[in-house]
Amino acid sequence: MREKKKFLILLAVILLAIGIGSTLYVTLFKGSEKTEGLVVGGMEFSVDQLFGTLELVTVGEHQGVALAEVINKARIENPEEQKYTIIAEDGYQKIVGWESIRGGILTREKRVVFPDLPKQYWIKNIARIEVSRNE
Amino acid sequence: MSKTKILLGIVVFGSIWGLLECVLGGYLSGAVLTGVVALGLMAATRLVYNQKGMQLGIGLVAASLRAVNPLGGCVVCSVIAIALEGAIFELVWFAFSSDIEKAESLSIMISAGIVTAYACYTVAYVMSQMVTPLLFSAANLQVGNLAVFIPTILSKGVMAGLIGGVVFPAVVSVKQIEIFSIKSRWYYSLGSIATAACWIIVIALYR
Repeated sequence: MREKKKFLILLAVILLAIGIGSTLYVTLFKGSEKTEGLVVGGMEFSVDQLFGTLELVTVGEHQGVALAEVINKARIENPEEQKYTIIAEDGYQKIVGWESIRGGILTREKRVVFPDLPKQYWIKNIARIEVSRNE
Repeated sequence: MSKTKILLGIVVFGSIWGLLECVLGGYLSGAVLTGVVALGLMAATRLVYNQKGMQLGIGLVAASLRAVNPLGGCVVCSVIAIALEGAIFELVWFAFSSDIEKAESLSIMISAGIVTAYACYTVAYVMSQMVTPLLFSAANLQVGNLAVFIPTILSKGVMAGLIGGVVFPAVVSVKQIEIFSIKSRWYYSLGSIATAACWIIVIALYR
């Protein structure tokens, strides 16, 4: 019984150590990609630049510019053959295909909205969209 | 205590948890909700009712009420996470039940709070990220992207753990409440009213 109590205390210390170690790792090695604009396939755009030139589209309660237009603006070749990794400032990321990009929008708050995907794909504060060949 | 009373306890406290998730979900982070609301309610009911398995039921009721509310973040993720928090609580307390329920020393209480809240938050977060895509045809499980984000999840769990370490010792005082001594008429009436109120508020406000 006494051993079990000691183990519970030890487990709490280990979990906190893992958490604090992860915090240090994230802070020191991963950092935050806080940016004003958005990098799409290597090209950087400001939000004003995108919203000043592209038409506004509404998806449900959200309004923004069509993600497909943003991809076209970044001059991605054969966009339907690519996959898109959407990366948030805190490192959260998801890969989406062209079908989802076609129906998706980018809001002024730098959030992506995809009507065909669960909200865990509706990433907030996005920093980058990486483009790679769909295998 | 009769099974009906325990069943009503599950429904009442599950509904309260579900209501708090719906109302506070848009303002508080998941770590705070886990540390304060989830751990607070589950630990309190476990200490008062002393009924194994009850918290799994409370989690399922809370998840059902959260499913009614379409607002806020990822509804499916929240529903899965809440239900899993109930299951994880049961697992942790199954392993250490005799020590936690006696909760003789402050170090044990703090440790129990940290372990339960940290495990509930991190495991439920990871599992909800894994299970949710399986329910949508257009989505797919992305283990690589999840792995990249795991250090951030483990880091966010510290907040839940530390809150749990404070909340659990505070909750232990409810052990003195003798729920069995409440007259059946009052127990059933108040329980039914509280449950109905929670569901009506969520349906009226959010649908």
